[in-house]
Amino acid sequence: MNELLVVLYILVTLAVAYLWFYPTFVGNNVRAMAWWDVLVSGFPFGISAVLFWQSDPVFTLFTFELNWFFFTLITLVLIEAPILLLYLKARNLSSEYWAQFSMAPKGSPDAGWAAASVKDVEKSLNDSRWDGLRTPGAKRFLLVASNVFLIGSSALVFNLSDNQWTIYTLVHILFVFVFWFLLRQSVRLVADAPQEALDEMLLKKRNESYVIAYRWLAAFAFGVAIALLVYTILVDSDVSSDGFNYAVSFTWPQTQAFFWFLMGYLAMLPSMALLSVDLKSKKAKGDN
Amino acid sequence: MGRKPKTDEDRVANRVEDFRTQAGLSRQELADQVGVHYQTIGYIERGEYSPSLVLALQIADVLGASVEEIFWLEGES
Repeated sequence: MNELLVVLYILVTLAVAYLWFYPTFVGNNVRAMAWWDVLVSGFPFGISAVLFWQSDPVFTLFTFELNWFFFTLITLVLIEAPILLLYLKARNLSSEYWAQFSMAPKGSPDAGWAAASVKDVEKSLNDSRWDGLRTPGAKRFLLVASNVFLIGSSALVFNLSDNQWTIYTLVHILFVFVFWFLLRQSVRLVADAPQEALDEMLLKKRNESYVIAYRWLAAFAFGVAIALLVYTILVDSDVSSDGFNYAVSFTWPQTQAFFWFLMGYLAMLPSMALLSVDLKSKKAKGDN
Repeated sequence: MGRKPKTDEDRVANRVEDFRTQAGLSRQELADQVGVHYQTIGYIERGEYSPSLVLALQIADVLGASVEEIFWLEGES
């Protein structure tokens, strides 16, 4: 019953937004629409919070049991996504709407992937403030230090007990961003740049670094999969079991450690690979 | 005949710096005229990057010389 009630006020909210408010007051202004959508989406959450925060009933979505927050979130996304797509299509706003969330220029082949804008890359290419990070020694140090940090600090967070995790994990997350920032500055954002910001040499380097990054990612994924398998077997070893029913459970610090370990590598690998391309080309030049 | 390994490939030598200095251009000015970043000109001058044929032709055009006068394969005279 609670499920139907949530679906009902989500539908009413979206009907008011998409049939009256957006067409009347927002029109074709996609930026305003994105901002207003935050408010529109917040409305059903507000109602859910007022109704269910105290009683905290269990909601069933398909076969999953959820609390009010996640039920409202998932239901809202499932109902609003097709309505938004239809609305954008009807007003021919699709490309303009999604382009505002992209770092790359409209129509760029890197539109979905670039993590730096043309303006920021151009600024970084002419910026000498971070030249201290661009010497071969500094690049080598960054490459080693970021890997030592990600592996060592993640292992430390993984072994924290529940009541110790907060402060150290926040410091750990902060340092993930610090290393990500330093690596990006060291390679002048080239690894994350859309092709419109790069000339032929920088584009060649960026593309070369992605081949290396993908190979490292494959090795990394293989290592993580093996580690998970071994960990599952070790933590759930039970001599009396039949040997086929294993269950792995993570504490919250362990979940955080795992999440930020993956996120850290996913965000940093392209810049790390570009550093290695730079260092290799310097070495090759030195050998000749 | 198989393809040569990348490490054995011929390197491209050049006189970009000489021609650029003669033309009274800075790296930045040459870079702006051929549409690349000024550091790319530095990499080319130091022989750390071999430009594409299009870029080599553009550089030769700006510097008022033929491509053969500015670029040649290392080992050739």
